[in-house]
Amino acid sequence: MLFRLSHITKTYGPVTALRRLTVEAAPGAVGLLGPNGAGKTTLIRTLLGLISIDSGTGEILGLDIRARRLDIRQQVGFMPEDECLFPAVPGVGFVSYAGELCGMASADAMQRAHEVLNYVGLDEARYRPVESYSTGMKQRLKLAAAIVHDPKLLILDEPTNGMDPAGRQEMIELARDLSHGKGMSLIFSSHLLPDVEAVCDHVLVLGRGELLAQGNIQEMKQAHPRTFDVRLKGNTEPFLARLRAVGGDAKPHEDTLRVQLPEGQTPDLLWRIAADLGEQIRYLRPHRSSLEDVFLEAVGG
Amino acid sequence: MPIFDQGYQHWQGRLSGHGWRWLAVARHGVKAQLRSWFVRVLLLVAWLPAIALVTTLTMWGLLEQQAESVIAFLQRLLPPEVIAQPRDYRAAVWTIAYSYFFKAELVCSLFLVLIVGPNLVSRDLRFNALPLYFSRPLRRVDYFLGKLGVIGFYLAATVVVPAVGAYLLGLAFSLDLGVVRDTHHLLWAGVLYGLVITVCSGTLMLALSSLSRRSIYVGLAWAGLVFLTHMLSSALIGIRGDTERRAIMQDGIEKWVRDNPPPPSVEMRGSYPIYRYSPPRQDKKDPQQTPEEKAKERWLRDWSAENRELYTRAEAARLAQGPTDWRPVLSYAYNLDRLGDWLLDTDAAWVLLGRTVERPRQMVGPMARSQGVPVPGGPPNDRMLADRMVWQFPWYWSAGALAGVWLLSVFVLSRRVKSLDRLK
Repeated sequence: MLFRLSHITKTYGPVTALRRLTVEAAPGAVGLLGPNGAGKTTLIRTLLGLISIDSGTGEILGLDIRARRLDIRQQVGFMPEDECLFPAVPGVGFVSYAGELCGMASADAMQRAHEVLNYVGLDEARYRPVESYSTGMKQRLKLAAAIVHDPKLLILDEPTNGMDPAGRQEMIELARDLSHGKGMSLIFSSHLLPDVEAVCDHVLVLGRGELLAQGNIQEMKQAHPRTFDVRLKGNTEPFLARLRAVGGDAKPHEDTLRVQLPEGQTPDLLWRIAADLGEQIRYLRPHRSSLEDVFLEAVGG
Repeated sequence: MPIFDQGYQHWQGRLSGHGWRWLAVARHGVKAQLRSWFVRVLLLVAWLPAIALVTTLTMWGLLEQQAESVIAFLQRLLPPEVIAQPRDYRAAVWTIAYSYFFKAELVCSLFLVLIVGPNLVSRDLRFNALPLYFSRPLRRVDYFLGKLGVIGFYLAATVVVPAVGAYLLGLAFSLDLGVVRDTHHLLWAGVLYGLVITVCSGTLMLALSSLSRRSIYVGLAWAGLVFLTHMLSSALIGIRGDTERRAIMQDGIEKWVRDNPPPPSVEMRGSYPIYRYSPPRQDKKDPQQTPEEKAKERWLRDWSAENRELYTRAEAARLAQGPTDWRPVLSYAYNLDRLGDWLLDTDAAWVLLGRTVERPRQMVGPMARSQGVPVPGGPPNDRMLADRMVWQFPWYWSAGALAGVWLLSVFVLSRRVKSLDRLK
């Protein structure tokens, strides 16, 4: 088990950030989705042991989130969302300092800093002061600083914020490589659904401090066997009436009808009705929800 | 690019425990500051008083061994009792040498803190580095300790290390282990004093540094707080001293002039006589002064003696107020200075020297005065030097003032350097 939280409540004055949140996640790449103010950052801080929760219990990597805060942070790498830097150091000094703060000896930290900077692709720029870095370089630098001590779990909070498309693609590839190729667990928080989809296997959808949906992305996206999107050439009313008469249902969705077949029927039924009525079916395909649908459905609900 | 890109490699090194994590912060800060040439120059300058201290202690060591050249040199500066029995004065002289060293180093360290300190927290706030610190296995207290350690390192390098080094050199030149018995308290008092300066000024600087994201403002605030309070306090002390002295002297002179009216050729303007200067006569025929001139000369001599007497009395009145004068407490530097005097026990050292100076005055004073030589009158006062050279107000006033500032600083720090347990 990567982490397990049960009945976690956290309030900041009148604001309830987490409301009796109970959630579990298995090791692997976990996406954290949710609109602004959903409690993603609070959840991450709870996992890092950075905040005192009002009630509830939890553990991460087998460590209690209340009692073993420093040990948790020792084993977790965190890349914060905001722009934040250790000032007045070159890139390699930045990363080695991050390593020393995790308890590495300074020679080890320097060697390791060069390794991870090679990995994230910061080349000669590592000798420049970090203040002169571009946004994309700062993001890579923060990623390097988060993995310098080889954490068991890496938490990325909005890692692709402000990056150009090429940089974003590289960041996604790095995150995917770390989680799928190097066996590091990953919590990837983002508003950008394609990013989460590209990196993660599992997703948690948060809203207003509660868990709205969770599951394997591929399973969530799987085809629905009795739902089809259908477009007819002519009048749809008689078609709808016949469909309802046999126990099916349909409602308009964009320029198609989203048809729900009755129990035990196949799409043949649709062809038969259309043939009886002399209508033309111009479009027919099984409905497959995107992650966006899942997200919007969860948040909207 | 690496020659052979191995991709990401796992790392299986050992991580140190949490207890010394603050050391990483301190080490990083020290290295960052040492890159500035100004800090390096200041460190060298701050070592100059140490050279003076070493010189004094080695000269004393040579004097104890009755080195001719040193005796010849020091004879003009020190009372003969001291030259004759230098071992009796060893503790006092070492203490006074150390107290001057610490006074000089106090000034240096206040400047050093001004150069080294303002960046420490303010730059982290400006670059928003706190989430990076606190999302790692580091507590807030580790962060503060680490930053304090930066200031501590520089102050130790300028105050404690030279003090200990000078002690060892002084010991080496005296060739006498009795020195350790007489002066060991200087060693631990010096280290303790260095610690006090570090904790007090370091915490205050960190608190100021946390108040602004721009280190220039922090520097200005520090300069204002330390140097302006010093000026204010000095000005108040000076004003009080002047006012009281003028009151005593003016009243005294007026009363004396009423009792001893000036001769007609002298006119009083305020407390001061105005008269026409008559050069000594070169006329061989009439070497005698007129009675009028004699009276004027005698009156002026008496006025001058009375003036001196009144000045001594005013000075005594000023010193008598020393133990209850609150004005030095307004100055940050005076408070640290007072604690230094207390820790080193400078007062006792000055009392010993004062007694040495007072003894001959007591013996020859009446004789000299009967011959018309101006020697200050009054009963013997062993504390004559101590009262002048050492703050006399209670040390715990200073300790209280510094503790108050320290608590305020800690409060400010804890409010400004917040944990991440909050909304953005």
